[in-house]
Order: sequence, then C-alpha cells, then structure tokens
Amino acid sequence: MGYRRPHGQAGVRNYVAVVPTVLCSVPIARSIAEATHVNVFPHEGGCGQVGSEKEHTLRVLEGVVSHPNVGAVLTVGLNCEQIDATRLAEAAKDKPTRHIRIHDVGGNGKAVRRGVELVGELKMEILGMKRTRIGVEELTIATQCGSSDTGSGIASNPAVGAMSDELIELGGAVIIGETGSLYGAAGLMARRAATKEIGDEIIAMTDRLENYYKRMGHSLREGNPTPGNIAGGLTTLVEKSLGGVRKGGTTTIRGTLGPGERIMGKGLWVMNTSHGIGSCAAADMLASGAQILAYTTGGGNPIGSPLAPVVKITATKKTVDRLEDIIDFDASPVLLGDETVEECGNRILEEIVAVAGGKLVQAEKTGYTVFAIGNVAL
Amino acid sequence: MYYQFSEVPGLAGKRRYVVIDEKDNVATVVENLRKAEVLEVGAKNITLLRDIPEGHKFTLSRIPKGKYVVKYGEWIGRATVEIPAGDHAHVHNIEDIVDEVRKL
Repeated sequence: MGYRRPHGQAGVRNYVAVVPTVLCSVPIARSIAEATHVNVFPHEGGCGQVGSEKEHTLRVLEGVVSHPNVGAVLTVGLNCEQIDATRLAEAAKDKPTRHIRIHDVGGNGKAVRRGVELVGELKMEILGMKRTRIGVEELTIATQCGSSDTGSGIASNPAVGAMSDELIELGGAVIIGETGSLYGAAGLMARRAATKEIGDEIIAMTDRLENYYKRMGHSLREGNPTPGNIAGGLTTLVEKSLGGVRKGGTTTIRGTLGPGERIMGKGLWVMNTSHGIGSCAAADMLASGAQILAYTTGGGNPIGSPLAPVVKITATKKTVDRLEDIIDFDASPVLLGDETVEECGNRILEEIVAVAGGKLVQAEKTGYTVFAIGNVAL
Repeated sequence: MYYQFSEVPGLAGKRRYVVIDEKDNVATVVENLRKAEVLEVGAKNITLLRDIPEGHKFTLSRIPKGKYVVKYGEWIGRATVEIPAGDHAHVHNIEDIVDEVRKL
C-alpha cells in the first residue's frame, strides 16, 4: 500500500520535504522543519561548486523533490546562490510546492515564521491523500552496509541478496552502490553484466575512484581492509568486497547509474556512488527514486534517512539484543544455522512489504536521520 | 545456496563454523575455536593447528604455496607459503590478488 504520484510513480511515504537550496540556508530550513515536525535535507553544496560537483548537488536535490516518498516540497533559498531554484522547483512536477528566499522575506526570523506557515499550507494540501494499492514490482530497493562484521559478509548480506533475487523475480528493482566497496569485486560484477559496455563501466567507475586517490598520492587499498576488518578476520580487499556485493544477489546486472541518477529500469543496477560513503552514498542511491533502503549492519549503525525508511538488518545476536532502538530485523538465525539464507531473504522481503505499507522503522520512530551530499562525483 | 554448518552446536548455542560454497577451501568460524580441536567437516576430520578467533578462517585442505584461497566460491587471495589443513588462514600466509580479479 502506498501513494500514487501524478506521473505514475509509487511512494511508500507522504513526507513534506524542507529543502535548502544552498548551505547558507540550512539553519533556517532546519528550524522550519523542527518547528513543524517534517523532514529536512541539510547539505553543504549549492554554491561555489563547479562541473560534476555542481551537477551532482543539483541532481541529488532534484531526486529529493521528485522522489515518490515526498508529497510536498518547501525549498529554502538565500537569493544569491548558484543552484537554480526554478529548475529545482520544476523537478517536483505536479506536487504542491512553495519557495522562500531569506533576502526576500526580510531575514532569518521572518524566513522561519513564513516557512512554518507555508509548511502548514502544504500539510493541508496533502492531508487528503490516501494510501492506495501498489504492487511489489513497483518497489526499488537500495542496498547498503555499514559497521560491518563477520556476520555481514556471510549472513546478512547474502540474506539481503536472496531478497534482491526474489524481488527482481517478482518484477522489482534493486540498486547496489558504494564504489569503494565494489573495487575488489569489480571483475566479478563486470562478468555478471548484461553487456560488455556495462561491465566495462563497472570497472571504469572503480578505476576513476582509485585514480582520484592516486592524484593525491594515495591508494584506495591503503585503508582496506581496515585494521578492524583484519582483527575481525577479513584477510583481503577482495574478500571484503565479495562479502559486500552479495547484497545485490545473483541476477544479471541490467545497467549502471551515475551518482544520484534516476533509475529507469527493473532488475539489478550498480550505482557509482563515487567517493561518497555512509549517508552520502545513501542519498545518491535514494535520490534515484528507491523507496526503501535495506541496510545491513553487524555492529549496529544508527543511520536513518529523511527520504526513505531504512530497514536495518543484523546477523549479530548481541547487536539485536543490545541496540533495540537501532535494529529493525534479526538475521541471526542464519548465522546460528537455524534458518537458510533463502528463508531469511523471504522474511526480509515480507518486512520490506510491511514497511512499504506503513510499518515504521526504528529510525522513523526515534526521528534520527542523516542526510549529506558527497562533494566529489567522479 | 550451499552453506554447510558444523553438525554440533557450539557452547553458546551457536554453530561453530560455516563453509559458504562447496568450492571453498577455507571455513569461517562463528565462535572462538581452540588449537587441537578436531572438527568433522563433511566426511573428514580436521585437527586445528592453532586457536582460530571468531570471524577468522581455517583451511579445509592443504593449500600449496602460490595457489588460490577460495571463499564464497571465488578466489579471495593467494597462499604465500604452504598452508596445511586446519591452519589459521589470514594476512600472515595470504596475499591480496586484487589486480588479478579486477579484470573483465
């Protein structure tokens, strides 16, 4: 059950989004969102950026305002920034939108008061929107991992992979990203691509990242596997990467996406999230239009997103028991040998369908969200 | 998916190790295992040559120097010395093969 948007997309939430067009208006946007209990999208871009960085910021923000989980949008500008506020508003298409500029309304205090009024109007406008039936094949699930441990590579990631295979079989789409993590498995992933061109691009995106570090006199390999990974039993970068890419399951890779680029197909897609990790990579993948993020975490990463429910999955029983307000899904039966990977994947898909239907994830209950746009997009 | 677990649950109620793919020549342990423990893996008994900490790997068969270490059914590294069965397989006896496997 979800929300049908004017252009046919299906959302699983009906958020009001307060979007600063530039880093200068972030505090005002934050105050407006806090006062009205709606979602805010702070970032450090929107001005003084050039080339691919500038385009990347705009692409992610366009992804936010046009996202199917967003029902209405208030953009908050300053007046002298680089981001094209008109283009940004146009990306929201037929949704209710408002725009304020701090200079135009006469300063910070007035901007907050006016913003609060406008969010009130937007809330009224989307109040009547009812959940309607949407199909599981309309779901696009982004996948990510963080605070990983042994259980991630051998249990929770493969279980998410089994979910991915099942969802794709049913007609849905899955995105796997995190270019730095793909690095050691790029060859394997490339061989699973539908065409040679897609395979070449998978390797090329990891090369671009490594070349970026090389220009600074460093290598991606310096930091990987991390001392913590090695202490935990991971031996090589290849092993680490192979554990990570299992989230995507086993199907043919249908295409690649640039950072934050809109997904236009079904099946399994690889997104180049470039230099971005954590919340930056999450923002890139969700900006593509993915309605839910399936996030595996051994140690218990607290991530939540203002753009989509984040379902946090761990195979580590200690983490389930200790971090009750962080973890959504217990995949430890796989590690304990009490459940097969496929059975667990099936349970994850059931959980995702329940979340799509309105079941709140921990990050939504506690209100802790993180949003950031990476400032390097190679 | 293959996933062969140890037959006998460990002391903490957990399984003791997991072999992820039938092609693998290493197993990952899910609780600390002690040197000299004898493990039944498939049809054979393997005696651990060292303590294996949780999350680490031990070899299921002898891996000659220069041969690949296989986990997930894929090459994850190369043995830098001969590794006997039941030994701790980690950074001290395995090198990364990232350049080799990154090709299409």
